[in-house]
Amino acid sequence: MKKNISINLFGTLYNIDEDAYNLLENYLQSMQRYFGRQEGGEEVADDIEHRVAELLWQRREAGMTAINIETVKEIIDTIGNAEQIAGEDKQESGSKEQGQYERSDGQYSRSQGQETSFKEEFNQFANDAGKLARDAYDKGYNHVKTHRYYRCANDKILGGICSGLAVYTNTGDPLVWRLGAIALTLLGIGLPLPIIYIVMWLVVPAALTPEDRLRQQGKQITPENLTQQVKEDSQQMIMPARETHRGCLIAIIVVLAIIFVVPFIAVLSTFFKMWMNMIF
Amino acid sequence: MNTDNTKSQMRKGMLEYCIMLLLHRQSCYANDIIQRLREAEMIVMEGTLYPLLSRLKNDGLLGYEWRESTQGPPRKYYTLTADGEEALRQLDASWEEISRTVNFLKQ
Repeated sequence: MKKNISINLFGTLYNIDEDAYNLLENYLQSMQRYFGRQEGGEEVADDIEHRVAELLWQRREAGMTAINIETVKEIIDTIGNAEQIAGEDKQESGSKEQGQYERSDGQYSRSQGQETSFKEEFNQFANDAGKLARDAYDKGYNHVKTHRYYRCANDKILGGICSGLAVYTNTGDPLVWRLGAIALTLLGIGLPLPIIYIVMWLVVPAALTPEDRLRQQGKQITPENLTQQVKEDSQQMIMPARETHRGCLIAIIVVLAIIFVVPFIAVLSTFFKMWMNMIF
Repeated sequence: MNTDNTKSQMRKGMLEYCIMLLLHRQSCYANDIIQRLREAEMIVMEGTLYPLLSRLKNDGLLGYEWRESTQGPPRKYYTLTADGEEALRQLDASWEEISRTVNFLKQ
């Protein structure tokens, strides 16, 4: 059994399951945001909405009474694959890869030269080390350029800082980051960590939209990727969220309490002990 | 050799021409265009159609009008403008050239 709501699309009412509605709403919104940035793009998004309405109408004429999530997925599959844009991107990255391959090939043949003297060997070594460092730098630079750090609004214990780091660094399990942070704090090395955590909580935005989640993973915002992400979100029951800083405020109060109240109590208790000693 | 890319490039170039061809005969809305292209066995992803139509319209080659429909939402009927007709004639000529070349080389 599923909760059902009714929507009005260009003057026609449709009954739609709640999860199907969320998926559809997300899809249309992300298309609007994507095409809205381009000139005349609102019109394209509007065309797509009309097309959705038409496909729904056709299905209703064919006897479908309530729209379920499978239907919405079908419709998204029919419309959503903007192969053109994704295709162009693919082509560019392909040629880049080839260039890199050729370059490393050249280096390989150079190192094959016979009878390398010590100097040459050393140069080779320095070259290799330099190349390694350069590669690492390039890789890091690329990563920073393509990925954006967000807090995970959908996978969080406090602010989603750790799960955000896990996604950003592509290290998979946020549990490692969480345990690490707790361990460092308890061991005393990471005493400023709670403060840093709260500052990050305040400063770093949360990943709220499917676009945010794409940027977080370093994927490009193409209609194809968006569609994919919207579908994944609906599978993982991620709803478009609004950001509240209530949790953060509570955390600040707790930390302030620990910083100020605990020493205060300690001082009080010493005084109390001294006072007792004086009396007796 | 991977021919996928070449094929998709070919399709991309053709799509614009094909759409103008079918709008030359009658004004159509998106669903008609999709149906006609499907009949003609032209493989096209629907999503790519809307940006293309919008671009052609902004270039002044297509015009449109909204028509109410008893069969669903209002429909946007596209027609070829005078500029569009002229562009189509040029594309016709260039298509003739291409097909002549290909046919010649195939022999």
